[in-house]
Amino acid sequence: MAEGCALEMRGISKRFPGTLAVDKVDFSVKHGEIHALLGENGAGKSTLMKVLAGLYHDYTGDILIDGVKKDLFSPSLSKEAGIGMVYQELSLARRISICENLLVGRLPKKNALFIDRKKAVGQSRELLARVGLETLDPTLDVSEVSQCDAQLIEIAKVLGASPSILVMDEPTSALSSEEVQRLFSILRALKEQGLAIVYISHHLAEIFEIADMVTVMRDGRLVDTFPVSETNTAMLVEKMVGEPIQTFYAEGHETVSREEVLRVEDYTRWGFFHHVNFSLHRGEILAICGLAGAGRTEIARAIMSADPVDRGKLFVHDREVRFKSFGDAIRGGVGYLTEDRKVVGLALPQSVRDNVLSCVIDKYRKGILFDPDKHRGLVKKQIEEMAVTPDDPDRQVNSFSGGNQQKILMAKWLAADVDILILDEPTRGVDVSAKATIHNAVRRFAQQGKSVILLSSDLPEIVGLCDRAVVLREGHLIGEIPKAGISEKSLLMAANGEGEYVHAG
Amino acid sequence: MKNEKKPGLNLNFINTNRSYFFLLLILFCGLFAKNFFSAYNICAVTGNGSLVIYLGLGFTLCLIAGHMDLTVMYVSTFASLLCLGLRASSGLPWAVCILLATLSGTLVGLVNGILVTKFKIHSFIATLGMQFVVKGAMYIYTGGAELSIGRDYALNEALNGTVGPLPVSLFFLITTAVTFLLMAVLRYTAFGRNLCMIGGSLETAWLAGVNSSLVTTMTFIISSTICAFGGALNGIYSGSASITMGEKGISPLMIALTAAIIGGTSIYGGKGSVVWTWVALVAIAFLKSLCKKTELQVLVIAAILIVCIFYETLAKYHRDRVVGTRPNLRLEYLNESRK
Amino acid sequence: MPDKKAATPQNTDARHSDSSAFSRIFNKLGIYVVVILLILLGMAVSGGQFFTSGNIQSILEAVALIGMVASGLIFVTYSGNMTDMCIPMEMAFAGMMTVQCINFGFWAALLAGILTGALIGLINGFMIGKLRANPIIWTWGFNLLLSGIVRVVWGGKQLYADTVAESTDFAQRSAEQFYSISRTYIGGIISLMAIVMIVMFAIAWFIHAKTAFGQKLKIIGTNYDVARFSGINCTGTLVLTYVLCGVSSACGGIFYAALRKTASYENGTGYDFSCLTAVLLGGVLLSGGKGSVVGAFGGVIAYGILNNILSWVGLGTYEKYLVQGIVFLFIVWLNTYSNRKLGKA
Repeated sequence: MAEGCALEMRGISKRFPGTLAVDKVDFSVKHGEIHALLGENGAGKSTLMKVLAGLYHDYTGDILIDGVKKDLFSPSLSKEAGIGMVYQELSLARRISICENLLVGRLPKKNALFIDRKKAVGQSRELLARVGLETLDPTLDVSEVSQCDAQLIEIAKVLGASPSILVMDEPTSALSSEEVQRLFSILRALKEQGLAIVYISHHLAEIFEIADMVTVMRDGRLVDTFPVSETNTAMLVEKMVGEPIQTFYAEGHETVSREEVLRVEDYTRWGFFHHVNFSLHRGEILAICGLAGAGRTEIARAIMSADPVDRGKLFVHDREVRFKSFGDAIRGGVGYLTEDRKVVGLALPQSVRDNVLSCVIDKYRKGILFDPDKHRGLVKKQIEEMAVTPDDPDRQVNSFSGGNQQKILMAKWLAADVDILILDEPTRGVDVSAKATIHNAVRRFAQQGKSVILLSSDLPEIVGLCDRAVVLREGHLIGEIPKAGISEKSLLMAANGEGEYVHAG
Repeated sequence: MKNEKKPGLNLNFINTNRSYFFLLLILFCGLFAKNFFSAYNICAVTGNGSLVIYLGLGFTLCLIAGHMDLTVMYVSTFASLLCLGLRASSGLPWAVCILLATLSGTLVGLVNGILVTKFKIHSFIATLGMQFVVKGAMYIYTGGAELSIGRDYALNEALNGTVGPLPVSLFFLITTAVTFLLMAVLRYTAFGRNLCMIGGSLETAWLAGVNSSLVTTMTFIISSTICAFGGALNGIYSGSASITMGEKGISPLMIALTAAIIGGTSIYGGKGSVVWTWVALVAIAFLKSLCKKTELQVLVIAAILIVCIFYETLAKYHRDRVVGTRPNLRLEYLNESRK
Repeated sequence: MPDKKAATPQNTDARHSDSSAFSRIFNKLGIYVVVILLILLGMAVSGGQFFTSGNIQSILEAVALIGMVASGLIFVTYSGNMTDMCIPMEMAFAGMMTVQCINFGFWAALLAGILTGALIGLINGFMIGKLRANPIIWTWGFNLLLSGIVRVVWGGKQLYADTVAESTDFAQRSAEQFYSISRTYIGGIISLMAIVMIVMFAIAWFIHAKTAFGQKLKIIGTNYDVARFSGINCTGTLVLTYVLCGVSSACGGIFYAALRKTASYENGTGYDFSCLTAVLLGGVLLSGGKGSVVGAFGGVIAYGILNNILSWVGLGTYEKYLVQGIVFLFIVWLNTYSNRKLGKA
């Protein structure tokens, strides 16, 4: 194919028992190019990148690195071929020093047997400098630095192997906007040096900012590849979804009342959020917007008593409450859909039914008895409303796609029958149709006179769904945006501390 | 977030070096006992306590890598039986007998490693099962008989004898040398650092291309080899070996586990030191000589073990509650609390 | 263009599952197939002596004790905490307490023993449920401590009910009653121990399948954090789990002491291993959240028959260790392997 291609994937297919995850995909990246890879969940882009990472030995098709065919049957072969993978989940060992994490597997040796510590520290300082962390002490344990720094260390670590092709999977998920800009400048510098960079992200805005080319995948197949300059958001979404963008967001609603259902006053947990005040009204969908790390999840966890609160009060239905446990909070009418469905959201090896009923075991028990079979009706109703496919309540949850899993998680919380639902990134990593289903469910929920607090970094989601937004930045509530003023621009500005809705102090 | 340095008693320091404090405590108690610091006593106590040091080394090594090795005890017993048995039946030179006995441990370690890495069985469970396999194999070899070195005293006397002015037996010196050799491997070689990395986070190691299967298997091999070596030497040192060695009193396996934990090796893997275990085992050996009643020994050692586990568990519990604080906000908090 | 609404993401999905009804039933009851095979093997090996009342009784006797303890261990394994290493001392301590208290009457002594097991379980449950201690290391260390306590309190000696009992009529009769529990045969044929075991399994089945506790345990066993973030009271549930194990081990220990007519700190040695083998044999996965009581019951029976067969083949205690070790490893491998086939993430 074209010359100057650092990476060329030709006709790649990967089959799993029962499904064809990647179907004859062609994908190539030139030296000095940042190429974005776009697609919904289940589109196959993660699998394609896993093939590149050497995680599968049974793919078909050819991979050429600089024109030379390579068989990437193991992660070490992939690394040797010059491929560097930066994963979303950090691969650092928390109890081990930064230096040893950066150089794991390649510690400099004094001779055949012994390692050279001084050299190791020196080399790690160099690596850290490449991501702007030159002042960080490499002998610290990873557990002693912030999440943001850890993410950058991860990137430094991958750079340390001098890859010629860098694959970044949602690298900005835990970064603040300054760090994103820092990352982008590092990526641009690497681009100048001739690196070929694959950039996977759901954030279309980022792609327009940093990428040169974009490839869209759908249902395991390649849809199209074109330069970023020749496209726009609407076009990209259309390619991803296969449907006109009108179905992206439905119309709004008017059900907000003046009755206050939840209020926090001077809510403080030292080191996480300080002096937060906001209130939630009946029928309202309130957004707490902010950049990653602002403290949104921490506030939600504190309300649910999963974390301790050092100062302040919580009022639910005008009565001051201090929930003693998560279960207590649910009984008090507040629910929390957690951020990560795979880790703390769903019991993956269990059936849909067991998951959907997991919040209400005590609620529906008769004395000491509880029979999940007796609640088939409830479970069926929930999964039908959430359009979970296939709608088999006995199927194990880990056999469903990401979008369906998220819908099951949503169904679980709808079944919990709470008045106030806190949703933490409810459509992260979810395909567009599942996203729409979840959004409609949220609206229905509010229309029934219940209330929602939405924690999201997905700006269009907030714009399309919410009645009001409060802005959190570095643990402080710095502003409030009424419905009329909510737009992606105003949200992003406010999250960065600027704009008319941010009050001083 | 680094701990702020507090003036006065630093709990962290005491905790990290608790094995040394433990030894000092026991030695202090020894001041009140008769003949405690006599050359004879020191020599005998350290010599008799050497076998379990080998077990402790192996166990600690596996613990740092995030695994447990329950076969340490029977591997060493088997090796001592094999060593004495080979000598008695075939008259081979001691060196050969010791070598062959040690290799039996290597073999068991290899099997353990394969069970854990290839068959993906949890190490506790895998070695729990292997323990019985080795125990049974021992019996089949000896038919239940107890073996002794008969009149073959030369090496026995050498091992029991002191070296130079030090009041310790050669056996103990060899044991100590093995300990420090192992420590050097752990701290200064790539293999050792990889071992710690596997214990710290298996994923990190795997993603970095460290061959965690190989390192894990090597860990088990080294552990069992060391135990077998110690067992073989112990058979010569004490002059006899039997299957039921160590079944009265506290099981040597429990002592090894206890010493590893009391010594300061983390039960969660990644952090630890074989030297700490060595210190703790020396302390326990002296404790046993101070307190002759088995019941009391068990109680005291177990009580200290429980305290250590409790402390580590509590520390982790608190750590998990505060993970993730943002530095700027923490500064704010400090400012506000000063007002 | 495929219709987006009807398209199941399944066909682009990387995951696969094996949840057909047949395989689920087989996983549950497959052990009984093994039981039948073992019985056939036993008949072959024993030269027709397998079904004599003497042989059946000796199988049931061995099985009864393991079964009693296993009926409680199931819950610990199901909760994802692998095993309870305190079982040996739960058994031994309960036996000692029962014999020591024989002067207060048979039933009071029984209660004392059971409460001992419950108390040990309570402490375990707190450490593991609330403080999240490492379940193996904590219970193993605690077992050692209990062993030390028992040894110190009773001076390392063994207890005999008839010597502990005062010379009053009441006390002596209580001691007799105590000895008889392991020697009673209902209708002259079925041992009381076997009946107690079956009753305990029935109760365990009920608790596991029909109660809210069982359902909660299923989630906790799958993923502790998911359970916590679903509002389940993990501490309380795990405390109850370990109490159940403590109580059932105590039962086993009491019957054991009655059988051997001796209470000692060594009663119960080896039961942690054999009960775990039986439970795993019955299909309860080590990783937690999967398995059935019915299966575990089959596992206990299979284990008993296997031991019986080994005796017929002429293996001594130590040779049996070898075989038991190999069988155990094989079962565990099967356990882990089938776990991954069932598509656990």
